[in-house]
Amino acid sequence: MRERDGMRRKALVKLAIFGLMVLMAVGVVLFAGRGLALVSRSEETAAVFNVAAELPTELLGSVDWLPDDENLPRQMEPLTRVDITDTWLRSWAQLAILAETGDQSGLEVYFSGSALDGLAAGASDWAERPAEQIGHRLRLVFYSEDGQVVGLRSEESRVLRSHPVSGEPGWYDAVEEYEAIMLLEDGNWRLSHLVRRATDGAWWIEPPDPATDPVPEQLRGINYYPQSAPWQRVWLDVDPRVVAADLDRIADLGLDSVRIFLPFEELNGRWTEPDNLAPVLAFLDMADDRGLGVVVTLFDGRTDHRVFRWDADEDHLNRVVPVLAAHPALLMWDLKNEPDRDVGIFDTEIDLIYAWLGHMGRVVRDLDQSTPLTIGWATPEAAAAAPALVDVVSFHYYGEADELSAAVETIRANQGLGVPLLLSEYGLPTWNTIFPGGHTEQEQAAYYADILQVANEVDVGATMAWTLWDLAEPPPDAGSLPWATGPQTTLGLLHADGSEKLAAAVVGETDHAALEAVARPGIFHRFRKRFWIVAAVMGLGLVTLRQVGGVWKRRHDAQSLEGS
Amino acid sequence: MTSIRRLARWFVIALVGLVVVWKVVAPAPKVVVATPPQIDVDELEIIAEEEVEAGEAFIVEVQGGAPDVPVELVVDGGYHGRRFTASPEDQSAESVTGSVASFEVPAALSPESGTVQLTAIQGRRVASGTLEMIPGEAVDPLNVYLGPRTVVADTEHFSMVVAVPRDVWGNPVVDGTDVTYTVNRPDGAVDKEIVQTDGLLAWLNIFSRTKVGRTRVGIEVGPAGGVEESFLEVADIPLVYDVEVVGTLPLADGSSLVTIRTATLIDQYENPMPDGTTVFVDLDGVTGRRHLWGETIASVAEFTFEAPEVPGAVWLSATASGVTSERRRLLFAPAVTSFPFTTTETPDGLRIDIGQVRTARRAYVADGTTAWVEVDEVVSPVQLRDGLGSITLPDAKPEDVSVTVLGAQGRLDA
Repeated sequence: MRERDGMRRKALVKLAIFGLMVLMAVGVVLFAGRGLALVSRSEETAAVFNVAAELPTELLGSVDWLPDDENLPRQMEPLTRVDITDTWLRSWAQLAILAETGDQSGLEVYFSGSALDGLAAGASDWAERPAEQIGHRLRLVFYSEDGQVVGLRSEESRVLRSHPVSGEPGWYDAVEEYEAIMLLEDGNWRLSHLVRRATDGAWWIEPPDPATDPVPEQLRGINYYPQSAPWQRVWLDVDPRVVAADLDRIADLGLDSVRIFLPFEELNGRWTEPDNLAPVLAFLDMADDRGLGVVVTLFDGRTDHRVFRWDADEDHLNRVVPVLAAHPALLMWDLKNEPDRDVGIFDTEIDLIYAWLGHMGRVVRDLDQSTPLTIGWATPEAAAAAPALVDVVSFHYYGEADELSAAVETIRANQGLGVPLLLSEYGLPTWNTIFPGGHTEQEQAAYYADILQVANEVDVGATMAWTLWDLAEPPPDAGSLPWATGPQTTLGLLHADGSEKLAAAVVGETDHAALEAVARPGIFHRFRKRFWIVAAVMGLGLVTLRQVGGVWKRRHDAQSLEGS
Repeated sequence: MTSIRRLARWFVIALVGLVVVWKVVAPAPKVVVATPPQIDVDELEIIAEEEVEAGEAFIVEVQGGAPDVPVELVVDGGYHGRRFTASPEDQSAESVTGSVASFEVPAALSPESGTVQLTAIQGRRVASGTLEMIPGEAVDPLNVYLGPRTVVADTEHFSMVVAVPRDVWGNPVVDGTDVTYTVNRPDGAVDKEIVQTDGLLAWLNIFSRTKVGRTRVGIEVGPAGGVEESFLEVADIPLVYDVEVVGTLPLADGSSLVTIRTATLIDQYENPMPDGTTVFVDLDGVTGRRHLWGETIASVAEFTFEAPEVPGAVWLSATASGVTSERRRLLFAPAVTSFPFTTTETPDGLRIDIGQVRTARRAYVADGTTAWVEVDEVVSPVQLRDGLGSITLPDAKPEDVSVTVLGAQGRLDA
């Protein structure tokens, strides 16, 4: 017996050592990978060349040229205009570098004369209040006959100026006007004079004006992707007949609204064309035909909110919002789906994401004064912590139904008691496998009933379930582990084969008593799930195996004794 | 029973381990918990003059804040921002009295002109305002940019002179400032013109006149002046001109040099073409085609070439700045009109003695001149020395021999 214990201890020690070695190997691989990434990124480039030389390509499109002044002495050649554009952007980029690094050495590459003197004199001040360019609208007002002197007027330079408030990050979203002179010196254009002529703007969390349309207080809606073309493929592979049939089913479920998503990149980003939006308009038409309102979620998949990308985002809005704004089916603009999940991407902090949301919200409001605006926060906590930038506070909730009222209370405590709320996502997956954490369809139906009941009790009249279908594939960022991807594809009210789950009968229900009457699973219901069944079978199997082994061993020992 | 208990224990441990592993590998939701950032943009008010001259100190008051609480003011010009803090304890220029914070913004080293943004911050109260920083008077040296540096003196071409007058701080002066351009012409004439600044600069096109030379431009704004700039006015394309032979035209002896030169090249206003103007000469005639290249010195281009070996006409024309002279015909007379040669039968064949060959001016032809001896369509060269030359040809008959020197036919002496 003691010998057997010793062997067991040895085996455990060996197992522990093996595990430790595996961990160490993983650590070494990770460390080497990190080192390789650092080497391949190489800081030398930045040290040898001016950092502004590495201007992000997306920023190159952030200068819009207004018609040249009529009295130009000389017309500008297209290549020179490219040069001027480049210098203008790099000059501003150099100011951001000056603020970030305090390094003045790059100044003389893009500035000369008074501008260089002025910037050099105030270089240390930039570090405290950096400014990052968003975009510019330039007009050429002078071009000398010998092509050596250029006069510019920036009729709109949008700049995000850092202004910490109470020791915390803060920004002034400025719109400024400038007059400038550029000189061609030793083959390079340089800014020699830069005079600000006007400045205006808004603080980063100043909300846009409220929408003129009333906020829909009662909604019973659903999030929608086609079953076989979800996520980023939604408008690329869309089949109008499939969409029409899906919208019919949504109406049949007793729902009145749909939340859809416009992927930024797939709709061509800053160059979105009417052709890209044609399927979206067709969807809105079909929704309108069925009396369904539509919440349009912008910037889906756009997770990089660094300032140099903002101009592209503005261009996207300028091309999307005016096309869809007047559509009768449009209920609400959802500025961004779960922006709080973008924190940390390219080291972006939540404060800068707030600034981005404020900026884009004001752009949307300039383009469409009537449609209410919301932001689909991933959690009630994020919705509660967000600045008041929208007409409707929207949040997603996948927690316990009985904790929803506390979550709503938290939001109201921070955002105000009267603030309109929209529960824009809730749901429960029917992923039920050998892994723990699965749910049955009965649990899903009960969850829907519970959520809708609590929402009614706490006066959240607008709810949108996630989602119509069990989707063909998980979202791109779900990873590959089965317990991560499985639930993401089984949140639908309809199976992939089109049959309804139990919750389909609940989602459109508004009657409190009917919701109350939905069957709740009993205390032993969970043991009917596959995980527990498998666990029980395995347990029984192990016990049986052990018993059989014991019997076999006893017989074997007895035979050995007889033999000896 | 013991083994069953032990097995059950292991089963429970495995289950707990599974749950622990599940908790570790299962993705944890990102939760952002914070209170909403808040600012108040209505309470503070910034009081400042609308306009301040660059380099002057100015006062800014911030009203409406919480009493006796420090206030921060950021004065943000185009090139940089300066930060000031006023607190109740301060007895200096920045102070807080009750709900009024007062700031004296001193003259700084680079007070850039234009719109200055004023930002006041007190706790979560923020306010924005602006004032205009007005540039001062222009000072020396004014920035002047001139180009092009060379223009044609034809009253149509011009050079542009751009002036960016600046004040003592480097700020471009206010729009509408008078800039006086003084233009000193090559003929001594002086023009003055006044242009007002617009969009930070002033500019003037200075058109050429009809006399070549250097035109100088001075800029003044009040008492301030800039560095004198200048440009060259140069001749336009030349008028049609002649080409002439220098000296006597040599005979067609293949060795004498012929010198030709253009007339003085001048434009329509009688301005001479500048030195170095390229001139081409094209020759065409008994010598074949030739192309000569030269440049003007004192507005005249001169060329030299060898006289042809055979008499006849040579046509020539010169081209300068796209203007081509009249075609001129040079007629080269024969250098040799006649000469004797004799034939003698020898064991080696027929010996032919040529000469003496003299030119029309009774001089020997140059040593090395080639005599061409033709027998039955076979031509053999003979180099002459002192006008004499000799060759022996086998199987030749005297009556079949013909000799040619510099295009002249020899005569057979008995």
